[in-house]
Amino acid sequence: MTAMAPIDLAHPAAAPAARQLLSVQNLTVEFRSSRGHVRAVDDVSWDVAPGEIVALVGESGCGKSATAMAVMRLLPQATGKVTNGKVMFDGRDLLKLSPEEMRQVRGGEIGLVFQEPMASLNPVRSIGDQIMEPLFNHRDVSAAQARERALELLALVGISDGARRMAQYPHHLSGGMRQRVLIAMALACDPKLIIADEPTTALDVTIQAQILELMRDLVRRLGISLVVITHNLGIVARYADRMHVMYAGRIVESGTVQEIFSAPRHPYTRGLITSVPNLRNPRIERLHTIEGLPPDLSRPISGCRFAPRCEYKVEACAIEPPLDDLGHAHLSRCWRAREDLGSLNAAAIGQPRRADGARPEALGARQLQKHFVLGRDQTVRAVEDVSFGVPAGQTLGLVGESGCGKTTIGRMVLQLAAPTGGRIELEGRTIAAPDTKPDRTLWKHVQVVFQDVYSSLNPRMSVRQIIAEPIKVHRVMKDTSSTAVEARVQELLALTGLLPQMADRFPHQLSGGQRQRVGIARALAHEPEFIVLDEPVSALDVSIQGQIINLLDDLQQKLGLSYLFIAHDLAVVRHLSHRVAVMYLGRVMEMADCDALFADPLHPYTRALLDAVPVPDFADRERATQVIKGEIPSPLSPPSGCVFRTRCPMAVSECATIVPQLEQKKTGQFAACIRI
Amino acid sequence: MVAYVLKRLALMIPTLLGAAVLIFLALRVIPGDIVEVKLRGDGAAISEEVLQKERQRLGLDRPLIEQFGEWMGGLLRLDLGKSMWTERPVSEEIGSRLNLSLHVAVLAMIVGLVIAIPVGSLAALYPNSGLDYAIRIGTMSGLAIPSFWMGMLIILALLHWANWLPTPTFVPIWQDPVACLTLLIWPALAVGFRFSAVVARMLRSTMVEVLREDYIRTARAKGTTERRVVTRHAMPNAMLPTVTVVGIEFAFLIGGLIITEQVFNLNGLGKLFIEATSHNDFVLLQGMVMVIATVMVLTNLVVDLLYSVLNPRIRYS
Repeated sequence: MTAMAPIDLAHPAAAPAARQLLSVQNLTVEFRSSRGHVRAVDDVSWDVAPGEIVALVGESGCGKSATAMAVMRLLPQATGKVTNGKVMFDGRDLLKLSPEEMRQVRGGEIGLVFQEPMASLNPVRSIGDQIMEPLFNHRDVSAAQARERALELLALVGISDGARRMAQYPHHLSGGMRQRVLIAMALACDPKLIIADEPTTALDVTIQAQILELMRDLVRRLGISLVVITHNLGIVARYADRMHVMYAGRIVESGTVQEIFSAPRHPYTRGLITSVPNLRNPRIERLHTIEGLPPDLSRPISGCRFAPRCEYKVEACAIEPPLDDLGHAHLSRCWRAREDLGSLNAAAIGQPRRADGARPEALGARQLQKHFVLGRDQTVRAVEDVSFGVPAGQTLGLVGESGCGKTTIGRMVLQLAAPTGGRIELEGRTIAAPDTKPDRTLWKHVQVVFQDVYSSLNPRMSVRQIIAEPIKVHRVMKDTSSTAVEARVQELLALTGLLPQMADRFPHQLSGGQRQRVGIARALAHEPEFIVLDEPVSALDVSIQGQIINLLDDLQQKLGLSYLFIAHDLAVVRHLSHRVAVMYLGRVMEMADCDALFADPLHPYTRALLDAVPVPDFADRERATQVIKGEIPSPLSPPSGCVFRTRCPMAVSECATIVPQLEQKKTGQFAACIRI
Repeated sequence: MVAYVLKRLALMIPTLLGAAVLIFLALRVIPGDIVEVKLRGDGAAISEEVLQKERQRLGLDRPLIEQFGEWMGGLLRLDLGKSMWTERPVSEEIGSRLNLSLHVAVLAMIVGLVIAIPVGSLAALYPNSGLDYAIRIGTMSGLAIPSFWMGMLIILALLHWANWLPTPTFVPIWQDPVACLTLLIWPALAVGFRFSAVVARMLRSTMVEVLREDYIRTARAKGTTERRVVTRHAMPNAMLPTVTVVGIEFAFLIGGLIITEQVFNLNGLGKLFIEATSHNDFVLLQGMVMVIATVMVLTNLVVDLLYSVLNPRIRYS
């Protein structure tokens, strides 16, 4: 970069040219916990060549983040410790550097980008201050030079109006912009390597696509190496060169992305790839899942760590397999790595999913509107003129990015917020309208499963108490003797796939998937006909996500439940819904039967959303993806005419004046757009 | 911002009015009669007629609503009335003593913060270390020891080791800082010790929380020195809840001075309060309550404004 000229770029004397920029060798990390020592990372080795994009993939607790923190020597001092291994970077072992030398590496030669951009930026210091800080830490620059460089960095990461942004604070920026700021900070001193820990997990899909394109672009252009830590296989397939799959502290499979996605050689990798519903493939009838839970790392483990959950287990698995080199730098820690385990796409293709017009309507929304008045001339138009119907025993999926109003609709259905216009009908009876009062008895019929189960379960109540409470409060059963209630609790536990002894546990003693099952059992305790599912799987690991989706599917068929399924993940919505409504800034952009919508999306926003989702398939990389530009406008001042026009590739001048109505464009397929 | 301050100042009026009604009624409900104390206090046989005349002169025989109205009328003109005992204007009686008490209070706060900030941060930087435990025990004792007891210990120590006590003549700090400090540093220490304990404990716990935040990790990942991580990243965030506590404690501190001033034999508000109470000097007591209430409300406003300066997420309008 020529504009860097005023800043002295003197790096420490270059070491003898090594082929690898970073080489992690036999790294072992232990954490001290109340349950003893946990070996979170166990004998892990991987390399990064100059200019390469390497992905570390795995589910929560697999040790991928701990590996990165160990490389940066940012493990929590009191509890975390590297007990073995080397981290060679540019010819030096980072683990042997003095604290001051290591400080020079951090932010100077290796940049870090974290997830949760809001939490990762200091709330009380200005953006400019925080971007200039690494320059003051590592370079001998004047305030004016640092400012100039910061402005240059902001432009580099696609933030316009840099001078104004510098004076602002993190809470003034959108999530995507905060992530751009974090990237600018990591780039400040021209590092040779950037480690990004779940860089897009908290972002909307269209923004995620923008950030990932930006990062790939930057590393290619500036010749930087990138390590991406992620649980999202779609991101890996679309952006990385090489990948390492981690499970329970170990690398179980390594290789080029192309090779692993076309022929995964470890059952866990196979499981991961097939657990994620794939938008480009036909919808399969049931999601593949990996049953069970990862092992407890505080206990000694013998044999293959994945064996207890593995469908290809054999006797040999009682001894832990070594990383088997299969050639082309493809390694797999499996005794059966050289066998053909069958095609990945063996699952049965799903029955077509469409709304059944013959069924009565379970729930309907008519011209629903919700405005929040914040003050004089300040109104948030959260929901505007939304109508839909949910057929009895079927699912309506409500998708959209943050601020589209999907959660507000869920809250109105649950009577937690009153509409300011229109009405909601449950089996033909109006349950929510501007003038209706909340009716307690309705909660027996309409229930909810929340996204963040942990915070929605009372930590001081046992599972038994949590499930029994609604039975008692709503007098669901005639016989409320304790034996009858206990029998019902056990029945609900069995129904949701929980063991009888779970009744005595408390929420913190359960895994994420088990908690969500308790959340579902609690909702079912009311014996409702209708359930609002508000992002029920988005906080879960992919292998667990599949289990919960299959459970919800089974329950619908067994109990005839109707669902309103609110989610941002299109693949999951496609899997569970019969009819789908795509929302943007409070309005429905497109509504159609599930299969029709995904096979032939009509509205430009639906198409943009579908393009933005990375799918776990290497072939998808070749797809010419058009990343949709810009940010979601504030619902305080939505654009005139069509709300999507500011980001729409098809927008014409009329779009600013005409508010498009939801019209039937094809049989059963409605879209709100004047251009189609 | 200016509009916000004006709004807050306007909101002071109902608050102070409430305080005025409360203190006025409370004093009338409590038994005791200044005329009785003033004229018959030394056992003199004064006739009921004379007492009645004196009551008339002080206006105590008139209906309560009239007395209240007259007092309110005075307040509107910023006239607190005249002491029923000394007949001097209340503002004069309070003036010099308020000056002394505010001196002690502000000094105590400074002493408290000077101790609390480093001590609280150190404990947070090395949690569960020997140092942390020592600091936690020290601050616990600071909470447990009442400030008048601390004051007595200080006096005893001064007498025992220096065989010296400051002469209790007060000069404002802007006239003679040395004389002022030699007198007031001791009560300030006695009161400030407790103050520092409260603030240090608060600072320690918020700082421990803040040091676990993601943005601290980000700062380290940028290669920021540990020193700057603490002073530039952790401290401004940890100070936010601490500022609130400092404000609340400052208000308490003024109340707590009553006993400490007694111990150090200082002629401050506290002493005046005790005298006025024993004399049943209604007008003086009412005046003092109004002054203290005003100080409290203003302190609150200052704390809120300071908070908005420290925390850019809060903007008053």
